Parts: sequence; C-alpha cells; structure tokens
Amino acid sequence: MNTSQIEKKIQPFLPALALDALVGSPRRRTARQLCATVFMVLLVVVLAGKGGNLALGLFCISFAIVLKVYAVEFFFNSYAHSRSTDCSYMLASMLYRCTTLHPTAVFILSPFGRWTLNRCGINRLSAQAFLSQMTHSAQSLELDLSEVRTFAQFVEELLHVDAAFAQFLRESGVEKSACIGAAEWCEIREKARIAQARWWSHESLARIPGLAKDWAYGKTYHLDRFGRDVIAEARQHSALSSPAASALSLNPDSSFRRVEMLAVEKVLVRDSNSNVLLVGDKANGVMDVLHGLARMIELGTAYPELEHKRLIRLDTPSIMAYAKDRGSCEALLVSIFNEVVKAGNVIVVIDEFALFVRDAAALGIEVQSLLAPYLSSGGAQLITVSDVHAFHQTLEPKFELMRFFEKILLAPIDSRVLVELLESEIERVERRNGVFFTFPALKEVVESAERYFSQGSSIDKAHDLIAEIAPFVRGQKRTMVERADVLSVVSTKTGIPLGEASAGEKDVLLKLESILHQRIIGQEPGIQVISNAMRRARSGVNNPKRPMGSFLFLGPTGVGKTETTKALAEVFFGSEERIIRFDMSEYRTPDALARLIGSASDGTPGLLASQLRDRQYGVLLLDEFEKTNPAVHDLFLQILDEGFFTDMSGERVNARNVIIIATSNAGSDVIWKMLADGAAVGGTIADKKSEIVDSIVERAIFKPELLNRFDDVVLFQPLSTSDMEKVGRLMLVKLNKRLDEKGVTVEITDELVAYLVKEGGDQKFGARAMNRVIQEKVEQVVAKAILKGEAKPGTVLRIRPEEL
Amino acid sequence: MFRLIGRMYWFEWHFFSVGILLRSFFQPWKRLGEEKGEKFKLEQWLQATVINTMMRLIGISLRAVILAFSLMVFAVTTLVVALFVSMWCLLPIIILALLVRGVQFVMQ
Repeated sequence: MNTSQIEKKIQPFLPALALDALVGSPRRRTARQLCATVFMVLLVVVLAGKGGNLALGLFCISFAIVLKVYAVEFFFNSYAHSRSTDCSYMLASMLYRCTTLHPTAVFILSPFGRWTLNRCGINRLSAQAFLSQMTHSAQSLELDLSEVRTFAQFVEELLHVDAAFAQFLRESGVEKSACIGAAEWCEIREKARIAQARWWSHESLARIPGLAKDWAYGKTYHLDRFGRDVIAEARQHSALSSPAASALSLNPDSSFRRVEMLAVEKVLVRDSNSNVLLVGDKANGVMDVLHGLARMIELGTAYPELEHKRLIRLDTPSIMAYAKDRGSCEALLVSIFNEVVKAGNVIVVIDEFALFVRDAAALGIEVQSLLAPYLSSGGAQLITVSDVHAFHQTLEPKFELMRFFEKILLAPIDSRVLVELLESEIERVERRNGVFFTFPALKEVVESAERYFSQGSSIDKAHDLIAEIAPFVRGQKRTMVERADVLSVVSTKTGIPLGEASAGEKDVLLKLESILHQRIIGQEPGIQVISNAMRRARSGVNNPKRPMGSFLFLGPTGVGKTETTKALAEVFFGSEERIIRFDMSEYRTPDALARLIGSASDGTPGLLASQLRDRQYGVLLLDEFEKTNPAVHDLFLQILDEGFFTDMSGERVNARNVIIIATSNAGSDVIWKMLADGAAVGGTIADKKSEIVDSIVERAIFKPELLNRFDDVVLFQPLSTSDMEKVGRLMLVKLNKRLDEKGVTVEITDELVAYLVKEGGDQKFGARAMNRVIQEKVEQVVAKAILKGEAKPGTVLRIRPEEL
Repeated sequence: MFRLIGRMYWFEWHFFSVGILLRSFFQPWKRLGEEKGEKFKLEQWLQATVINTMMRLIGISLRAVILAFSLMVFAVTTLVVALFVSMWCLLPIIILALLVRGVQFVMQ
C-alpha cells in the first residue's frame, strides 16, 4: 500500500475524516435532533415562565450544547466539502480507512461499497462470506492511486490489483465493468444527494426566480396565451423526476446533451443568422437541449448576451386551430412576432417546425415570407425543432427559409450515456413498483433496447422495457430485477430465445449436425457452418453488430441448398414458417431496391423492411441471389456488414437476429466441368472452391466485396448415386407422412428406390427430378388405388417398378 | 463561511434584480407606451408624450420601491452577518458562559 499517496490525497479532508471516525454522521444527526428537541422544549418552558431557575439553568446548558453540536457540524461541512480536485470526500473516507484495514474489506464494509455490491446483485451475506475467506494481506496489494480521483476509479484499481476479489465477482456473474458502472452510479447518486441537501449552493439559490426581472422588457399578451415558458417546463420536468435526477438537473454540466446545448448557445449570441434549427427526434433528447439551455440562463452560466432571456415554446397547433382561416392566422402570428420584437428578451421555440410550415402552407401562408422581416432584421430569434425525416422532406428544399437558420444535428445517444440517464430515473420506477434494479439488469435493458428493437428512439425503447420489466418481477413476488429478468421479458416480446439455453435447447445445439442430417443427405460443409453459426449466436459469442450468420450456398440445382435452410428453420427455429423467403429472380428490374426497402416518393413500405420488422428472428433466405439487380447486391453489402439498413422513411431495420442464407447456381457450369474433367468425381470439390469463386468474380456475377461480406461461401456438391438413393428414401418417407391421414402407406422397397434413382436421378437436376417422378408415377398409383377402393385405411401398398 | 456570506449577498442581488433595475431605472414600465406616428400631429404627439412620461414615472417609482426594499434587506443582512461573525469568533466563550451560568442557575 502506498501510504504516502493516501496521506496526500486525504490531507484536505483530514479533520472531517477524523471527526467522522470518532462520531459517525448518523450518530451526529441523531445527537443534533435530540439536542434541538430538548432545547425547544426548555425554550417553551422558560418562555412560559415555569420551572424557575432549574429550567433556566437547563435551558442555558442545552443552548450551549446545541451551539456546540451545530458548530461541530459546520466545522465538518467546511472540510468535507473542500474543493479538492484530487479526491472527493467519498473517496477520501474510503482511503482513510485503508491505512489500517485491507482495501477490499474497506470497500465491502463501507456503505458505498455495500450499495455498489447490491446494485451488482451481490447480497451482503455472500460478500461477508468472501471477506471471511480472504487470506491475502493488505501489504500484498500495490494500489496505484496516482490517477485515482473518484470512487469508481478506486474500485477499478481495486479490481485490477485484487485478483481474488475480481474472481469472486466473476463467480457471482458480475463483470468488472458492471462493478465499476455500479460504483459510478453510487457516486453520481451521492453527489446528487449532497447537491439536493445543499439548499445554500449557488445552483439551488439561482433557481429561485428574481423579482421584477421582466419590468425592463415588453409585455407579450398573445405570446403568453399561445406559449409556454421552457424554464417552467424544465422545473416541472425536474419535479417529476426522482430526487437524484432532480438534483442532477440543477447542474447543466450533468446534462447528456451538453455539446448540442453549447452549440445552440453559440449560435444565439451571433450578430446575424442567430436562429437555430435542431434536427433530431424529440425522444432523443431535443427538449433536454432546450431545458439545459434554459437552466444555464437561469443559473447565469450562459453568455451574458442571453441574460434575462425567456425561452417561450410556441404552441403552433393551437394557433392553427384557433385562427382557422388565413387572414386571422396571419394576423395572430404577426401580432405575436411584433410582441417578440418589442419585448426584447424572448427567444421563440417552435417544435415540429416542419409541421408548422406544412399547416401554414395548407392555409395559404408562406412561412418564409412571414418570418423573413423578423429574422433578417434580428428582431426575433427562433429555435426550431424538426425530426430528420420531416427536415429532409419539408424544410431542406426551402433554401430561402433555411438560410436564416444554423442547423444543429443531434448526435445519436451512445449506450453509456443512456445507462447514466436511466440511472437517474430508475429510482422513481423502483419506488412506484417496489423493485430494485441491479446494474447488470439496467445495462441489459439498454443493450437489448438497441439490439432487439429497431423502431423508435433508444430512450423510448429502454423506458418501455423498464415499464414492462418492473411489474413482471413484482408479479413473481420478487423485488430484485436481474439481467435474466430483462432477457426473459425481451424474449417474450420478440420470440428470440435469450439468456441461458434450456437443457433441451443445449442438446439440439450440440447435436445440430446429426439432427440436420436426418433430413439432409451429404453436404457436410454446409451443415457444419450453419451449425457452428447457430451455436455461436445462441451462446452469445458472435459479433452482436452483425447478422447471426451469413452464408452463400453455391451449387447446382436440387442438391439441397434450400432444403438445408428449411431443415435449419424447422430444427432450430421451430418451424419452416420462420423463413423469410425472397425469390431474388423477381427483383431484377430497376425498381427492385424500392420494392425491397420502400419508396420515399409514394410512401410505399418495402417488402424486406416489413418482413424483417414483423419477424426479426429466423432465417432470411435469398434464393437465386445472383439474379437480382446490382443495387440490391449493394444493399446487402451493408446488411451483411452492419446487420441493419435504412428504409425509405429513414428508419433503421434490424437484421442482426436473422441468419442470412443466399443460394445461387452461379458457378455450376464450372463445377460440372470440373467433375467432367474428373477433378472431384466421387470425392469433394471443396479443394476447388477458390477456382470456382474466382470464376464467379471474373464473370462479374458477384463483386468480390460482396462475397467477402459473407461469413462463408459454401459449395454444395452434386449428389452421388448413393446420395440419390438416400434422398429417394427420405422423399418416400415424406410421402407416407402425407398419406398418414388416409391411413395408406407405401412400402419403401429397394426396387422402388432403385426405380426412382434410375428415372429421376439426373445429376444435373439433382433431387428435384426424383420428386417429379414420385409425383407423376408413385402418387398416381396411390391415387388410383384409393379411387378404386383398393387402398383402404391400414393398407400397405407395395408398388413394383413395372406398375409405374 | 465567507463564501457563504458572499453567496447570501449574491442571492439578494439576484433576487431583487438589482443590476437590471439599475440599468433600466429610467425606462418605461414593461416598455409600455404610445407611438408618436410618422407624421407630426400635435394631439397625437401630446398624447404619446404624456403617456410615455407616465409610464417612465411608473417605472421609476416601482423600481425605486424595490431598490429601497432591497437596500433595507442588504442592511439587515449586513447586521445579521456582523452578529453571526462576532458570535462565531466568540463562540467558545459564549458556550462556556452559557454552561457556567446554567450550572449556577441549577445550583441556586
């Protein structure tokens, strides 16, 4: 242990730490409350003139004690809230104890450590059990505290040096990152608690609105009627949030849209073109930008030019509904903007600006002409908001209007920020539902929202999930929400099996090859690659940002490419209905791409987009992939690489939970030529794969970059005679299954199978020709026998080749 | 402690909007007033002048009331702060004196 590092860090907090060690905060609080109560009672007695000198004496003594107790607390606060940049009091209180105790023990026994472990889903008993078994001494730990400034960094360093503790967490199913995340959560919560208690802080006092601030500015009668103060909205928003979120919202530094907030602020203080167009979905935090900016103005931390500015959100739909016709609407809008100019301290916010422009146009009002005088003179300032789709559709083509605005795009929210956002809101959900979310559960909510639900904003999706998970856990008479609960709810909603595989599922996965071979004859490489892909996907070791697997099956017709896909769907996904099948030969015309992803011009949704939204888990089968339009190949470059694409409306479509199988006859002629040359007769053509793929690329059937995007290109071999026999038997078994309900069975004899192979065993057409023989010959015989009454229920028909 | 005292003064300054009231002391109340019109008309000119002067007077008097009140609060705050700082400095003596006096009362 580096004690000199510890001493240096805790130096500014030493008196407070010593006091805390002597008498802890809870005891001091109890003492304060007790002393204050006794003092108040004695004060009443003395004021009432009762009790004589005894009461007066006790009053003086209690007053002295109260003064002392409060002075001690004052002393404590002045050191505990020291503005040390090197360490927080929370961390200092941990380090102080590390000088005498093992750091891991300090962490586990401290209230913050207990809270962190609770949020990891580790209860006190198992943590104490680990503690009692802990054998290594504090001296053996080489904590490097030079870069440690926060509690979370301390936990990170502890996990780095204490392998036994890290192992204990792993065994409890908690990753290091989850423990560090929970520690960060604990730290943010503690800071929020302190911020909330400090009513005397600058942030808290600044929230109290000043008197007479608006006397220097003009009155806005019409604007006030159709507008809403964004600062009031921000206050209301904080009031509805949990205490932690509310306390954090006092500080705009903690806002997750800070970058955009500062960008808006910069535009607003410009001399010209100081109007903003915020492009992003409302659910993605547009209003947080405005609320944050309003708070900055309120706190006086915004640029001086924005001091005393009011952000007023104009309710344009109400104006449209109220005015009804062009004349009155125009007059009302002009009055409002005249008031804005005269007031001198208003920034008008119009959310859904594109809708306002469209609605106004429907009434015959050209918004650009209406606003131009105000915007060009700088008399009125506007912050407008639009979602991405509406911006491209309505606003972007209006160059004359757009030149007044500086466009600010809202960056997508990353999962780390989303976790932090949910942390600040979850306490409210916990209180309402009587549940307790672990950090791994919360992290899984964010990851699942992103991975398994493609439509809508990440925040909305995460909120929806939380709203479903909390009652789900409460309904099971439990309080702790764990990662498995999240996966269970997501699995129910999507139909995707998540979490640990059941025993039956594990059995299927481990024996997938042999199960598939019950239906597929030969084609070992194809069976192998898809089995491996399914095992990777189900065990969670595949790349979550790509499809579950993507394969190009190459080979002549009738060798089992599509059949393999169907077998997989039935065995693993439960039904052949899980296949989303596209015959790509139907998509060779120039409009193929629009038919698949939708058309922006007429708003028609795309077939591929709709099908993937409806069934996001299963197999996407692209038959005869080589025959489609090159533009569609380009679309699949992205899908195979990223696992998603964007449809005509700009919405993402998720293809990360499907296994993509494209089949193609391309290169069949080369395979046949090789076989004719004796290259792979009776053996395998796998060794010739590169030659076959090269010939496909040379003939520009597929681009090399497209072939590279597939996880594997699998060659399906032509069927040998013995394979044909096996296929023939399987086909007859299938026929018998169909005949089951008639009660008739066809006896599968060697001579019948030999006939099938002789008549239908054409290598060029594969097993399809044999299927035709069964249909045209065998089924005919059966049909006649049934019609003649020769095949009654229970009959076993023995068909001789000469009858066929 | 001195940071806290400074913050109290800042809050009063902010709460009574002293800065903005001083900057806009002679402005009409809530910018209310009459336009004098582009063409000179004596009646309209007189009417606008009277109303605008009235609005300025209303503004000045209302601001003066708030400023006077804020000045009073500042004075009271200064007294309380002085008392508080003195008490803080004399706290050990005060506590000791209260204890001694208390014991004396009890013993009597």
